[in-house]
Amino acid sequence: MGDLKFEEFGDIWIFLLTVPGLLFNMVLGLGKFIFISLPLTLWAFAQWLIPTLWDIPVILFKTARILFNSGYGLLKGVYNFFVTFDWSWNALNDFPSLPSHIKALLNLGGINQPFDYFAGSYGTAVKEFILPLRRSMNDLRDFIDFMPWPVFFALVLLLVFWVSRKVGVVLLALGALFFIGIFGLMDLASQTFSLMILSIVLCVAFGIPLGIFMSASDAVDRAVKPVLDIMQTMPSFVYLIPVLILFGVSPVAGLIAVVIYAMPPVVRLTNLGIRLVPFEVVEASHAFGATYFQRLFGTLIPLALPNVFAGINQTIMMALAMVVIAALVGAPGLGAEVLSAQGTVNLALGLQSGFAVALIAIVIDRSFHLYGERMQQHRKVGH
Amino acid sequence: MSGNIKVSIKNLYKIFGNNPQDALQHVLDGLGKPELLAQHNHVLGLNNINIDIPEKRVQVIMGLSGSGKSTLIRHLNRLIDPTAGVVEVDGEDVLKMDDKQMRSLRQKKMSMVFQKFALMPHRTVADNAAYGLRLQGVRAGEAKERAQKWIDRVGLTGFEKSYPSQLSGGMQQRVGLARALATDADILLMDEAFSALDPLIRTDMQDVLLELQKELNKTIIFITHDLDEALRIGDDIAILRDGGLIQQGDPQDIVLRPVDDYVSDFIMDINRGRVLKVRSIMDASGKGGAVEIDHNLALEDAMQRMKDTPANPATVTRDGKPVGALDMRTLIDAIERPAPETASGTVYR
Ligand SMILES: Nc1ncnc2c1ncn2[C@@H]1O[C@H](COP(=O)(O)OP(=O)(O)OP(=O)(O)O)[C@@H](O)[C@H]1O
Ligand SMILES: [Mg+2]
Repeated sequence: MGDLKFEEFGDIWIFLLTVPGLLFNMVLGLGKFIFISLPLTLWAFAQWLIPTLWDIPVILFKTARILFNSGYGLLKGVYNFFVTFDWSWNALNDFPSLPSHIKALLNLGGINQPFDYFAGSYGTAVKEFILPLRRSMNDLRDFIDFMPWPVFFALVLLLVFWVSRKVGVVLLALGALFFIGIFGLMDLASQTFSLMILSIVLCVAFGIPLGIFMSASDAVDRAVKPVLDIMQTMPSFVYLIPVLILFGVSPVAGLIAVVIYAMPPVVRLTNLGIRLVPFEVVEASHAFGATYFQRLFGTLIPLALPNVFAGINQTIMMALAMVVIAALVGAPGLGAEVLSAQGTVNLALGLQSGFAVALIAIVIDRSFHLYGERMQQHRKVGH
Repeated sequence: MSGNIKVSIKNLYKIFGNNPQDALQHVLDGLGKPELLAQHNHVLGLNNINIDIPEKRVQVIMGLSGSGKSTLIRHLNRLIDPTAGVVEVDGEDVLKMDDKQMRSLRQKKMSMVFQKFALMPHRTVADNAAYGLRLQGVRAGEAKERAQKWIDRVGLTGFEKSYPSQLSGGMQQRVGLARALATDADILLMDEAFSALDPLIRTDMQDVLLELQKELNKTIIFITHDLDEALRIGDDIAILRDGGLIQQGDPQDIVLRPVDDYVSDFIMDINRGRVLKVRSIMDASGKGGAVEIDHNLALEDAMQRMKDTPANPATVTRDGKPVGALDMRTLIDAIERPAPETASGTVYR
């Protein structure tokens, strides 16, 4: 399928032997990231943060000066308005804004410089941070690339069937694979796939614990909700900028952008799902003497699962919606193809790649929907 | 008759609101539930409750909606913490327990049956019934076996693999009962356990409970707002109003001597002929005629026996020995529903 042709190996055994190695590499990479690189990075960040905290009085002073100056500017504007006797409405056209030198101070000194400083000083920590991610992405892509297409097709169809248990959806998936294959988009699709899978794994791995944490404490709930709101509503181009500065134009930058954008639904719906578990049932678990963890794993999570799955589904949809934007910072795959189609004003190419993304989205959505319905079986009244 | 005290509640207060301790002071100064709500925006849940519950008996707690029944029963296993007061179980202060002791109490000593069943919808009947045992740390196999015994006892054999949503309300509550009994706790808390069921099924469940109780001798605290149910099940009835305990005692006593209009309203519509027993209204110093009736006979049955010779008082017997007399006039007076304004209870003395 990919650059590495199956035939080059000549022997199916070599292929089969590579699979466990790749999987192992992936798991190892992720494990190293979570248990070594992440703590290291956080440590480096803390080392940067603590001396910076000493500067807080200075920062406060600067802020005060900025506020004072802007107040002064405002007053001066009002004063001028009266003193110059320019009583025309024209004087009110513009809201008095910060003088440019103060704005420069705020932007450079308050935001850009500290961030640049952080990015510049801790580039290595950041590299360390992204290395396992990048390796996992590459490995996953190679893993898919290595596969003979019949194996890949069978794997995808089996997975779809296992999740959905509906022949209709399997046929839909087959159609989608066929479409993607026919138009020669399979390599790009496999890159998009590996981006998707990894970003979803990350969203779920961080999102569900965060959601549980929020459900356990109203204070955390109140603190995290606005952050989630901002993550979802802030135009995604804005946080592409720091992602770019930190990670450069690379697949990993795309991955991180996708994760930031797509994580909120799974967090939200995990939290909501747990909070919506009927009070009587929770009370019963208290009354029979369950510990928090017995309640969490025995009652709360199982009953929240339909919502959690709805959250994961939304997360997947949002991740797919991000592929084109992520391509701007270097995520390869169908999104990049759509971008280049736009650059060359090639409608046909754009339609093909765009349609491929849509097909993938529909298949995943249908499958997950059915999976969620199966999870809720016990709620239906049978007999 | 009354054995050891199993559960003892002393000077228990519960106030819902932002600043219960301050509100408590107002209550101690004599403010009632409506005034506390109006003037201080706090809800008086329980107001100076004192009850001793003897072991192996059925203590019924009654009251209208909002009178604090659920609040009271939840203090026993501390699902709710009191504002002031003491709750003792087997002489041990529940409020002084740490988390671990508390869990152990809930796992082993007290179990609960809920009005809305509160079954785990994602677990089968078998798993629901074994829930308490699993929390006790009993291994899955053994828990299943022990739970099965109770599933059989409540008549759900064959439904082990069903989910609660596949069962009718009555059957769901049987699961609730099996779950509560399976832990072998000797105190059973039942918060309007049968209120959500149809009348016929409710009677069924009462039978199941009475049957089991005959053999198990648990201490049961049973909440209801249905007097017929209370009279059927209870060895002792406590009546709550606005968070306060207004009357407690033998069911017969409550029917014959309601302390106020609130209680009279409760007993207004019951079938007095069936509820009241001869012993409660007989003349202990009197001497009766040839007709003999047992002291525990219901009045309507006594009337049946006496109707052929209405002019002669009957002899009341206990274990075959005469203990008093009952005349027709007293009997009819007792069965007659008191007119609302004379419902003070003294009429029958
Ligand atoms: N968490 C709470 N916060 C505020 N007020 C409460 C709370 N729980 C109960 N109350 C109030 O306490 C009073 C007693 O409530 P409780 O639920 O014990 O009544 P109940 O006798 O069980 O009534 P029902 O028959 O409707 O179940 C009510 O006035 C209720 O509004
Ligand atoms: Mg209640």
